[in-house]
Amino acid sequence: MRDPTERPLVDALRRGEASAFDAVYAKYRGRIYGFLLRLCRRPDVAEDLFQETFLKLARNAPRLAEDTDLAAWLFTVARNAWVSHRRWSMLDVSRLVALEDDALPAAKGPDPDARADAARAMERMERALAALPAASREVLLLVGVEGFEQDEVAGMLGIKYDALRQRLTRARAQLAERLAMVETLEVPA
Amino acid sequence: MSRIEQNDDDLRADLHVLRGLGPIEPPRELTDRVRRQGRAELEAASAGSWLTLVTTAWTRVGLPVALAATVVAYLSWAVTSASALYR
Repeated sequence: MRDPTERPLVDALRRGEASAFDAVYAKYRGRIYGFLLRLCRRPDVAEDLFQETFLKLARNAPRLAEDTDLAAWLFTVARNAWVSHRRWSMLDVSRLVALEDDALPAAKGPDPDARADAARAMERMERALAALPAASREVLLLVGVEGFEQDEVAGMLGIKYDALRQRLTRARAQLAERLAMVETLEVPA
Repeated sequence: MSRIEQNDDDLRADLHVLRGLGPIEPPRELTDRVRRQGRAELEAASAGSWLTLVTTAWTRVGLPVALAATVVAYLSWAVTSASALYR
């Protein structure tokens, strides 16, 4: 998924050009925030980790390798920030707060009916995804939502390709199960 | 088609649905704050990188050259002085 047009951006970042930071920020902020919000399910935590991720990019910009894959770099940093946060918040009971209904935005589209259907389908997907174990959620977000190649994700998570395949297969089954459960609950009595 | 290839196709088709969950824009206030702080950090890091470069150049090149020059000058003076005593 490496984007060859990013090379000049990386070079400009290494030189400390603010316009390069703005360009990278504009390109990735929605994806990184969405990834973190879906991963940690709490807007306040997602905001902190989002800030941490981009400030880390700014601090490390002069030391980036010339061939840095910005998407992989940013998602790895975001994911590590979340892992670190989760480790430290194990004793924090506030982590049990459920995902707020208004934490995720509504779907957009031209036709009101189609928009409503799409919104319901996406809401079901969001709920099913949110109900999965963290390990399953992160692989589905990286491979499914963000479209990273499986070997890239294995590298990001620091696991072998085969282990990733197993985790992905399990996550897919869990998602299907949760989706069926969500749909069953929605059937009117 | 092998079973593994079939599984890969199924997996891709299943995961494709997830692509519908697009990016989520962060709140405006957060967006602006992080952009401001990011630019400031980038500026500081770039300035810091020049300082690091100068420091590295001094410790790896400047300081050893200065020490070597001092030692050579001292030995030269010592040899000249010793020769003068014997003369």
